[in-house]
Amino acid sequence: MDKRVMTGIAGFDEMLGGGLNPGSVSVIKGAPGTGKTCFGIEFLARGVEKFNEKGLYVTFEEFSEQIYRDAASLGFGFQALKDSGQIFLLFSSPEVFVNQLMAPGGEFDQLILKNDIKRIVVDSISIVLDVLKPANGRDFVYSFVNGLRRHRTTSLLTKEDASLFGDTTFRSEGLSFISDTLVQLKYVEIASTLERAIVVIKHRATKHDNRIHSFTITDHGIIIGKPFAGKEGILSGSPRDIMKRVEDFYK
Amino acid sequence: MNKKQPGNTSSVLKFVDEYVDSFISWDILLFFRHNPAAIETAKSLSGRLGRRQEDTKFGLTFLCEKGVLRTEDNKTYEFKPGDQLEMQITAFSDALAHRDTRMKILSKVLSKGKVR
Repeated sequence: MDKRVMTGIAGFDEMLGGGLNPGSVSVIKGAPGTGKTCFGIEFLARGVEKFNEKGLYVTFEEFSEQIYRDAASLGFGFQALKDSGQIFLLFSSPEVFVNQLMAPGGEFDQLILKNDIKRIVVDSISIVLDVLKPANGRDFVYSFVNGLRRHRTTSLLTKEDASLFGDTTFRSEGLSFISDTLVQLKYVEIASTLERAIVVIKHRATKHDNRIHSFTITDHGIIIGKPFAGKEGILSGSPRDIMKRVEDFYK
Repeated sequence: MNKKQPGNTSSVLKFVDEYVDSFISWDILLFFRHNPAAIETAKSLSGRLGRRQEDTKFGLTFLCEKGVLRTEDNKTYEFKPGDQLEMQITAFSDALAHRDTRMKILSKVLSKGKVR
């Protein structure tokens, strides 16, 4: 087995059974605000900080300043990493990026090969699909994902869920089959408070943690917490106490 | 990357001169190096490479002319390089892991100025 690509995110590599597969493409999906972009930013920043691996952040909607601000709120100096040639930021339209990705020897190929980039984040694949509306979506996604795999970089794609709660469907043009790893982020309401939950749904060729964990976003990065205990229906967004249900049953 | 540069750089660059005329032939060589039993069409291979079909077709034709691939009907393509050539393709693939050699290869392919 190849050595794993550790994300460096506290607790996440343990959930992944050691990390991501080298050269793989992973999808992290969730509702707006669940922390998808934070995972992307930290994946790249930790790559530089802990593993001396350069990264490329591809964004279609957020301006550079927004990315720098988001990264700073997590404790990462993205602009300094960019200025020192450790992180590369590509702010473009989906059309331009897909053309670059497919062009032989184009800007994408040269950027990766010349700079020895090892990690890529695309934020988000939802925008690519929404804007381009490819006629044969499955073929398009297959080609897109393989374009990212071409230079054996390890990539993370974000994907937006349609609703805040309860949406754990995964219908996007075969992305669930084509990607190597699927991670679901969720809002969970517990005692009138919104918490965040994370579960690894699929992780090829690896025994992974299939429990649903809580996680928090702090000013020094993401911290994966303990698995939710004594509750069921967490992925519905409205979990129930198992003991309460047992008590109700015997009433 | 801190890996030591391989000793046979000049033979790899000579191979690049003759067999890697573009980034498409680069992609196709690496694909078949890692999937030697594959039998592909231009359409299926373009999906696997993340390239356009029309670009892929140019590379397939070039590598058939060079004796790396074989096609019976200009529709399906197989990897049939012969032992000597296969060793050179393996050396090319391995050399890409070394930054200095990769940069020399990149520079050489870019200097050919072919987009396909």
